[in-house]
Amino acid sequence: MKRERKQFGIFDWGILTLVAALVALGAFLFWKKSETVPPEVTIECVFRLPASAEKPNIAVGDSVHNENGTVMFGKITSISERPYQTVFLQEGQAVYQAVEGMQEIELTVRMTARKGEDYRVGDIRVSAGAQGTYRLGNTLVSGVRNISVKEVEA
Amino acid sequence: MMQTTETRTRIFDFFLLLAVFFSVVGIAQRVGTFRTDAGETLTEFPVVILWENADAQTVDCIAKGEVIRTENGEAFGTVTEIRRAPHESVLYHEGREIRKVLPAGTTEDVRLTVAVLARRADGVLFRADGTAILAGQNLRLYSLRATLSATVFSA
Repeated sequence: MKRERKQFGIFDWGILTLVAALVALGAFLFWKKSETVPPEVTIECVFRLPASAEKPNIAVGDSVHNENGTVMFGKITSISERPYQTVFLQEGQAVYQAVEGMQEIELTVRMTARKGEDYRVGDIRVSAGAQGTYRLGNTLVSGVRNISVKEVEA
Repeated sequence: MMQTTETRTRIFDFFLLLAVFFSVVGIAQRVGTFRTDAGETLTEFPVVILWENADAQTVDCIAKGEVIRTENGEAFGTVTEIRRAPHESVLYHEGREIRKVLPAGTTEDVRLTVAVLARRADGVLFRADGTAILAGQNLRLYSLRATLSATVFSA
């Protein structure tokens, strides 16, 4: 019996080309998606604690966590303090000066964050101007303001 | 017999081609929809927002040309101008209003001009997703490095 000879015509070439194009498109979309995974970068934030006359028990090297301790942001790399200044009345005049005995403590915290449309540690957005409650070492502090965020070399 | 096999192959090819064709049409249509949505009758409007009582170091975290976004990550607009001024504190004493301008580099009031893609209807500005931008409205917006609590000053 003579074997059937199959013709590979222009019609088949057309289908093959379209399938190849779809596969290429799929591969491109897959590659593009994988590219959108945000890279990890090192950032430094300045956290300002609320003005207080008491010094909290915080030291360089302490870990910084969110309020319930589920996310570790990073570690404190430096601590500075400055007198708390505000506007108040003095002999009927408004003055801007230091309040005696009150200090503002600023912490520099180094953390590894994912950089996309913003910086995130875990699912938490890290941005200057935000305010929150943090675990600083073994101390829980409310009203901590993130003053600045900058990217640094790892 | 040979004729039947060939015919079956052709029918199979035809349906395969049809499936491929509709896939291509589907993809093209989807891409086309995205493009139409983006360009459809939307123009850039300058919206001035006032960001009050911000620390000078925090204001440094936002720059001209940056895209600022809403809570859910949608682009709100692009910052085209940043005007910074020291914050003015207001106190009231014995029926008098006393104002005090804070020293430069401490706390600032910032007016940001943001180019927003929107359309205007009945004098009201609407963003692409249909939300209105109204003067006096409080917004919480996000740039790459900063969080802004701002009020729409003019739209």
